[in-house]
Amino acid sequence: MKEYLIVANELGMWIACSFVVLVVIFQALLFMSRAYKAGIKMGIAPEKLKSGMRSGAITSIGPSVAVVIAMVSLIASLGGPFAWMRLSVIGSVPFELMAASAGAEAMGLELGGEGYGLLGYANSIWTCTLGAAGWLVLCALFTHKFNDLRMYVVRGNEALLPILSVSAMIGAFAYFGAPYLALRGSASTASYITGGIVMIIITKICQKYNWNALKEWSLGIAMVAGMFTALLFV
Amino acid sequence: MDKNQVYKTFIKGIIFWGRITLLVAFALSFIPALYLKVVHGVMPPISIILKDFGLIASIVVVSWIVEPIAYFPILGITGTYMAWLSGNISNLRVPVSAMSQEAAGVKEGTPEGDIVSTLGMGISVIINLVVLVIGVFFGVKLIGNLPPLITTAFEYILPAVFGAVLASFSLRGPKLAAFAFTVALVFSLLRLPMWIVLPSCVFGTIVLGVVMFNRESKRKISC
Repeated sequence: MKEYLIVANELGMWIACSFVVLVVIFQALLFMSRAYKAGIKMGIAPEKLKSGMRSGAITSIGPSVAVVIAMVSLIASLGGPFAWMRLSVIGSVPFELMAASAGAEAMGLELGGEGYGLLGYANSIWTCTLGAAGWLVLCALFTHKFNDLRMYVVRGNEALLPILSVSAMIGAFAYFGAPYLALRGSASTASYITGGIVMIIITKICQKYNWNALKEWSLGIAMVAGMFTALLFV
Repeated sequence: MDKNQVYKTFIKGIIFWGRITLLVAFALSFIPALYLKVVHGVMPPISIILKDFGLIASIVVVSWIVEPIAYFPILGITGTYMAWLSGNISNLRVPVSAMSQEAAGVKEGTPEGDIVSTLGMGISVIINLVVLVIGVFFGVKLIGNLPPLITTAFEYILPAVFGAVLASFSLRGPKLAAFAFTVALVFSLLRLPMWIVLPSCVFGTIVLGVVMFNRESKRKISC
């Protein structure tokens, strides 16, 4: 094991990295408890709120496991604690790998490569931290302004707000998926198409039999179907 | 208190705490870097850190601005504070937001939709953290011992997520989905950069959605 990795995996580093994760947990719990209370007061059926949470939980498991598997590469070069912190706050595996490599490059080194020691590691930590800082600051300062903008766009016609949201979601998912469909080879394409077909079948079944519990599982099932179908094309 | 008043109070509190949590997280995110300095005496010289900042900013400054705005119509105020703090936006937060509202049968972009989306996203933050902790402490060995077929399959989970969610929306808005799908596909094949493709897909689809909505409401009035 490289020497800097001893520091990168020591207890102190775990403690240093845990502060920000605590903020993430605090925010999630606070927002959830406030949302639940407000939801009840607004007259939303508790069953609906719980259904939303169950669906969120089921949908999260698969992609979270995928993050852990991808995280292994990040742990190898940045150690457990920092990889764990980065993937709990803002980051994603490709972004952090890019930022950490930029940090190594700034010192004329390669991430985890020859000559990449404690100083290179420290510099990668700086680039990862600075890379995410922009989003934190900009969102802290301007999020409520984005809302003014949205309200200006609909100009009092609140019936337009759902149209805005659904259209944006459709646009975003098309954007997320297109590279996998078109540029990443046949296994990705197969996974994409299978996921889509399975989802349509499940949604039709849900509608026909009014089976709401299945709706919560729909994306989970579509994911599993897609990822294993991909194996046939690897 | 009526529904809108409750929601307004809720949002006020969210804005207050959202700003605080993001700024506190910003400050605390420097602790690992400072820990290396204080405990091990290792810190890159300021000139290198400035160079780092220039390097990283030149790569992501567009994302810092374009992405939060493009995702805002989806995430809303609450979701924006949560997603930009907890990350994993395309692979976790946005799909979870969409699916939780779908499962609960609430309309996106309404107060009810926002409440349900907040609950779903909150759960996804917690689950993501738990899975990551298990992964970091026990997973490295475990993952090393997993059959390669399983780890390979997980490399292909994301295309299935994106294909499935878009398919689900295509049942509700076939024209919008077809439009967005075509734009995204053509622009990706042309390998245009993110800051062109993402806003074109999101705002282009919004424009089409609004135009279609207005036409339909006019038709209803004239009937």
